[in-house]
Amino acid sequence: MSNKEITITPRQYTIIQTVFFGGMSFFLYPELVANSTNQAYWIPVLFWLLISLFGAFLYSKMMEPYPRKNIVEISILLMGKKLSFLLLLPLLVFWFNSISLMIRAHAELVNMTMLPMTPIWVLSCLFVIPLLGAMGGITSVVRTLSVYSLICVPLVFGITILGFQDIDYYLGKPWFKSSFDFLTSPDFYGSSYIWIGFIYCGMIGKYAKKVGQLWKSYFWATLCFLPIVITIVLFPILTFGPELTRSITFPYVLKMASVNNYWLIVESLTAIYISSVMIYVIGTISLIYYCIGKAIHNFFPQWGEKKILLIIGGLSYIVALFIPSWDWLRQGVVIESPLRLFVAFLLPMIIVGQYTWKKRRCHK
Amino acid sequence: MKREPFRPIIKSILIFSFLLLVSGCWDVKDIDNRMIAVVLGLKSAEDDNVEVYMKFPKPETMTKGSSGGSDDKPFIIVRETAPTVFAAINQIKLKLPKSLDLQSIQTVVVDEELSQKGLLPYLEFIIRSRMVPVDANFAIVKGEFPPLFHSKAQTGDSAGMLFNNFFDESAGGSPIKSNIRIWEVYRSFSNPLESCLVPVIRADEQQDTPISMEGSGYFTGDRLVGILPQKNLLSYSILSQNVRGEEVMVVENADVRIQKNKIEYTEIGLNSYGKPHVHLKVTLELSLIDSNFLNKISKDDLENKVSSIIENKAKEIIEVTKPEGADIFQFGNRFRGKISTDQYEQWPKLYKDMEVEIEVKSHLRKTGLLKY
Repeated sequence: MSNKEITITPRQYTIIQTVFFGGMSFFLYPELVANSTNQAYWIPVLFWLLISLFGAFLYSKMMEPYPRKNIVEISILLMGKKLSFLLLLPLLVFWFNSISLMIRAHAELVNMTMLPMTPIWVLSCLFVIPLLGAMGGITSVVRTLSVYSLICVPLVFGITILGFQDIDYYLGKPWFKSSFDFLTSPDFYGSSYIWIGFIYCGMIGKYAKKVGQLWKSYFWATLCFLPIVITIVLFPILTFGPELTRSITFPYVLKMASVNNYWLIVESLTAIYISSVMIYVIGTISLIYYCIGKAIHNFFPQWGEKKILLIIGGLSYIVALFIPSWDWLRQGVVIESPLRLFVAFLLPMIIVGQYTWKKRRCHK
Repeated sequence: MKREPFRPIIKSILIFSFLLLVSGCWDVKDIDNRMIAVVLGLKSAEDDNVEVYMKFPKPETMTKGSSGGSDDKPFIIVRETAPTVFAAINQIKLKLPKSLDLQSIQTVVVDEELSQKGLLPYLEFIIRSRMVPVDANFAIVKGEFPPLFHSKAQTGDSAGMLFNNFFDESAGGSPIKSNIRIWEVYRSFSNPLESCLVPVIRADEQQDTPISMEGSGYFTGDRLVGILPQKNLLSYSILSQNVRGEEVMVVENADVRIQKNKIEYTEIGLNSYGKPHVHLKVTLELSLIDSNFLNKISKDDLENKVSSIIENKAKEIIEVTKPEGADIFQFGNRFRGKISTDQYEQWPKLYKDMEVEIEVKSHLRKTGLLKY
């Protein structure tokens, strides 16, 4: 199937974004938010949500003038290969980092919760599944994500409903008062990492019929996932209190472990929850693999796409193994924030600026 | 294009070889190669040591029925003394023929002396390592461990479930027994604005019912500072909204069942002297179980009597816990946002000067099949 025939419907874009949220937000996110402020925990969440809507809007406006072209092709068209490689290098580095961090983080997570004796190098092999998915091309990625979401979305909803027990609403007080203390906290900027799903539209957005409307898909995805994100952040805080939540590595995992129901058939809800979220994670990683492989292929068309993916896959696995500790990894997510913000907001602005400047010069 | 007949086969072999990785072979311990502990007991021993008790049910006796007439105990008790919990667990491992599995522990008990010393150093591993389920029940034991651990339950509970059933709301748990889970205990240790109430149990003199409630312990930080008598617990439950329509309260002139209770905080804040102040209204719905024919009082008097009993007992509890700064009603959490975050750490001190106004109103909703 050639690229021209492929189209991705807005609904599929919404699914992709939802899966991305699911893959990103369950583990590190609640702890980062709890550490970034001590009042009105929903404000930092909503803050990034609104900013990310703006970012999604920027991305879709950037893509609009060039239908059927991805961000790499657009920037090559605008400023030549060398300059655009320099400009987009941060994006590639960011994607590569995210993959390595995600592989390691989730290997570490499974190690901490379910398989304490299994070595990290085996658990990190989870990269193989998304890599194979990415090699199948965008259609296979999108279809897999749709099937995944059929299984996992109901599971996650069910788990969320179970989580409503043992909740004390007054532990989250003050609800409507904030001194915006989170603005000075690095963890707050680190917590932006779940709100950048739209940058993958830079690569896969070109398959949409109406590129300028892509941000709407993102908007619907955030709207669908907002209740879940809010519960992810608030459940641990309302159950364990903010003080304890700040010192837990995976607050939501502990929350799941604390759920106790006489009638619940499964002994360990944590295992079910982690397995279903891991499926999201695999979907997300495969999407990122696809994007990074395609981008490099656009820069160096002489290299085969599968060869690039294999090399990237191998490299990300090795980098993931070299990460020394969990603390380092958590710091990595926080330190990465400037890069992330550059990629999400400055990059599309530069490209849009370049485009309007060029257009104006042509008019003259 | 030339067809390659072997390609699909090679591909499928490759794909299935990944399944080998999924098995998690490093963590395989078959169920018959494990010793599954169900109760963990921590007891203070001489020279700051800790004595660790573990109770393992014997699977073969469980299938025959634990209450059979044979002399076989349906469980095994293992104990070891060492400076830390883990050193003791290691020593226990040295004695066991199979792999030790703590993942199915239902109840953790500690003795009174250890609780008075401070529990945090002994409980941290439970949250950190996730070796023991965080939703296990928690209790303090008054007196010696052996009678409690060694007694055979005649109530049809399998060896492991006895403690769990005793506390579980779906089994023997009730508002007149306090019950708490490990994560709640740990939460109250790390949250300065609250304190927890932990059930205190002891071995019963009667062999057939091995456990008996002694009272409920309250904590300052992670140290046990006092034990509330059992008779006050119903008022505590009513004020923290735990009562679910089965508890009978014995008043002088009648016995009433508490059907429902509602709690309303009408005032939360600091008064003009900077002292915390709460006003709470409790509304009770009662149904009559038994009236005293000889000494009958009017309906209104009965309602007032119930209210005043609960009010007085609640005040009694607050007066006892206040000097220790043990905020077992968790009023402090309601002051989040009312006092600055720097003051959170000072809460136990603030609680000592706290003014609590309690107003209980009861309403006799039904009188059973007989008219009043």
